[in-house]
Amino acid sequence: MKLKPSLTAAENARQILPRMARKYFEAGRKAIEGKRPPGELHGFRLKTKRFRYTLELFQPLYGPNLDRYLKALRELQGALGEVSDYQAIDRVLAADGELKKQIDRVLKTKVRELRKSWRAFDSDGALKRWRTYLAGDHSKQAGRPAKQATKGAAAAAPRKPQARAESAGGQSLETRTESAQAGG
Amino acid sequence: MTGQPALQDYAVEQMNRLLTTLAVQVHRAAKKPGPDQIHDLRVSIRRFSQGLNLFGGFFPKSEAKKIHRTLKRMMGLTSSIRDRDIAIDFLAASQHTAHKPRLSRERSRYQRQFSQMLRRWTASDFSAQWRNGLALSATRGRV
Repeated sequence: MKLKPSLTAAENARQILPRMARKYFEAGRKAIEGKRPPGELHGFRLKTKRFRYTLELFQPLYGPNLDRYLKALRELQGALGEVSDYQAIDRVLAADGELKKQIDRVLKTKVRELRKSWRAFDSDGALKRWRTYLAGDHSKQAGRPAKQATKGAAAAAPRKPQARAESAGGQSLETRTESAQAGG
Repeated sequence: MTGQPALQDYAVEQMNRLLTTLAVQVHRAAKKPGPDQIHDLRVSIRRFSQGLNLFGGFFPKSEAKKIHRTLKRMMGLTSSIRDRDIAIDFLAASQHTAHKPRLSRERSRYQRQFSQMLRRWTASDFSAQWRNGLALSATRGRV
């Protein structure tokens, strides 16, 4: 993503983030809907983190409405995390044939759940909503507390709650949360 | 808009913030290298790395590259610890005990290497060095 020093931070954000959203959705469709092996989901999980952290870097310029989008992303990241947890378990315990069978069974379930989460995330024109929101001027909302800023955001925000989020109380084997650090 | 900040000022402000958080997490993990502390450290490393990727154009290239390499080593080591933590949790949840001693031994070995690395980081006051190297120190204090 090429930033333009001649533009303000907000103008840069409005230019690069919608493009980044498009690329992110394309990568997700390819990785998840393409029925690829679970191992290939790792790359998409890293893309999800990068996308989320980039959005968070520009969060002060968007105001609290961006939280709704970040929440949807965190929830998807939670489902990806569950798959990743079982891939990690498989890496260190694969030598035990009995355990491996058990791990593979759970992993298949987690991949199915991830696909469901992705379909909820990428539904009803979600990409268009993301792009429209990220390309918009949200200077009036920036710096406002959440209560004042949520008005009018509902139409643009992701509509469906997702299955699980690290930061929304979802339990992964790690049961850790990234929200504790959100916003630094 | 919060004063329409120029991009470079904004980048410096964000990187200062991320480096402060990273330094806090390093000190926390150095004190107690448990699963939560390691997880939080990894998150702050990823956030800082992403900031460095995004705003890299504003910082000395060689310094940014050096920092990326250092962070990559730390991520590799913490990844080995995290994998064992997850597997140990899985074994406990599924009531298997056979592999736990091996995994615990491996975790201890990686944790020793991790603690050594953290000691080197904290002894050299890495956050001050990086702040200087990236020319962030002109605008903000340090941890």
